[in-house]
Amino acid sequence: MERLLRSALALACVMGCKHRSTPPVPSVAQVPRVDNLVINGELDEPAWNSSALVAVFSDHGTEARPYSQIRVLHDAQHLYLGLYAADQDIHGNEQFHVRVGDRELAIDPRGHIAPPLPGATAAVDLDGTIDDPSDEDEEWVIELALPLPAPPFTISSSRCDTPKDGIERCGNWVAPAPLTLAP
Amino acid sequence: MLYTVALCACGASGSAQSDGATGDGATGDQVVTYVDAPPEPDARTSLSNTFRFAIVGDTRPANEDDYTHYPTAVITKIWDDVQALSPAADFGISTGDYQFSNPFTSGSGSTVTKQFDIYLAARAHFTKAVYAALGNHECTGATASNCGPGNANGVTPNYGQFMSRMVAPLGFTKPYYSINFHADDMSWTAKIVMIAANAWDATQATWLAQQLAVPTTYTFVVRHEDKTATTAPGVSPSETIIVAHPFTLKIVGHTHTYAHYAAEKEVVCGNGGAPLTSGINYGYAVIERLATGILQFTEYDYMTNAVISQFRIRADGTSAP
Repeated sequence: MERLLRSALALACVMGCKHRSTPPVPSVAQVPRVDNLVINGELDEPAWNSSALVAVFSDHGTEARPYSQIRVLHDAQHLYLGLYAADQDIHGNEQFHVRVGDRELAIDPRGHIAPPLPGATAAVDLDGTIDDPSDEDEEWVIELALPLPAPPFTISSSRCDTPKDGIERCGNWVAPAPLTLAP
Repeated sequence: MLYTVALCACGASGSAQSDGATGDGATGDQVVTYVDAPPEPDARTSLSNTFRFAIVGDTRPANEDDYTHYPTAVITKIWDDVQALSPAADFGISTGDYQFSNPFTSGSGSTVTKQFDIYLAARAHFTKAVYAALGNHECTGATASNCGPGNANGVTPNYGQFMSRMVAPLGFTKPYYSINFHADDMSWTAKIVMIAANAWDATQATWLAQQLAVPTTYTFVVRHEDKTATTAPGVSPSETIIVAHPFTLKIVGHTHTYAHYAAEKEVVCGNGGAPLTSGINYGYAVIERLATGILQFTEYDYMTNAVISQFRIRADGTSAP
């Protein structure tokens, strides 16, 4: 019976789900498209997991610590960035620095964008307390919408953080190639 | 024994099947062959002159339901390392948060089964019993959440899978439980008291006080959150009970790093693959009893097995040379 079930499942997969069995790995040179994305700080639209470009920040060739991650999507009007920061002690003056083309922005754990950019919005999901070293924080997430740049464009991002050991550590990610927009 | 994801879910989930995850195969998601955790072997409770156990904590992806970026390689290597310990570990402890899945997603959209599949496949690389603590992600994900029958968040799929796949195989029916073990000649006794701060109720409070009142040479208290995570329903109430009793060491996770707070008699073991919040690498810890009766705690880097930190304590938790 077990063998039969296995065969049936395997066949079902071959017939109907092979394309789903391994989520498509988008070309690094193409930003996947999403529809109906809501900027609320929660990266809960399925596209953030299933199709977004995802990259982990590095520090001299190894995974940066504290951990940071970037996700990238777009629609007809906006470029969307999901920025994840693992953070033991969240400080209000910390920032993600983002460079898209020749435009450079900084976004803090309160979702402030500097310098202000018309058409840009950010929302934060924060697990922790800002500027309170008495407790242990976990993470903050920025969901960011930017006016859509003209392709091809470059993207890079960086973040520095000082955990409770007092040592500042930084990580960054640079798109290895100019990006275009998936239709 | 080899199973497909769908088959092992059918065999292991129990009440968690309400999330619809048993239909994974039929709905077209990936059918990947995993080696699911075998039935937990009965851990020996009578040991020789010493004991040695491993601690692993907090393993999850950065984003909810993102099982394709689950830290599979990290947690697999960690449990491989634990299995390779020499002398071997007598058993393992995990401090909670084994997945990050939305407990309110129903049907095939739920990833809780997939993530538990991955974790338990990795954990199966260690062949001894593992005593698992409940994390907030085994409730709703919110630190303030409170699960279990009769509690505000009830039995979520995450909670159900934790209970059916990580606790029930140990022979326990509640997310809080204790394990007693001792020397063959009874020259020392020990207990591990597992607190479920995200399944807190008056019954657990009474149980905790009773457990901690039982005298043993060594007492290890395991809770997912440290005492500063006061929004977790059971943290402050259990902390009050803990500090009113003698104990050797409090073992927590939740924070994705390793840290030792000697004055608090507390160690944080939360660097088991979840996004790291400090400069410490992924790793695991080992507590062993030395011939003198002193306990030696060692935190290891998962990749190099280099010692990250090491300290010694007496049975009462005070520092020892």
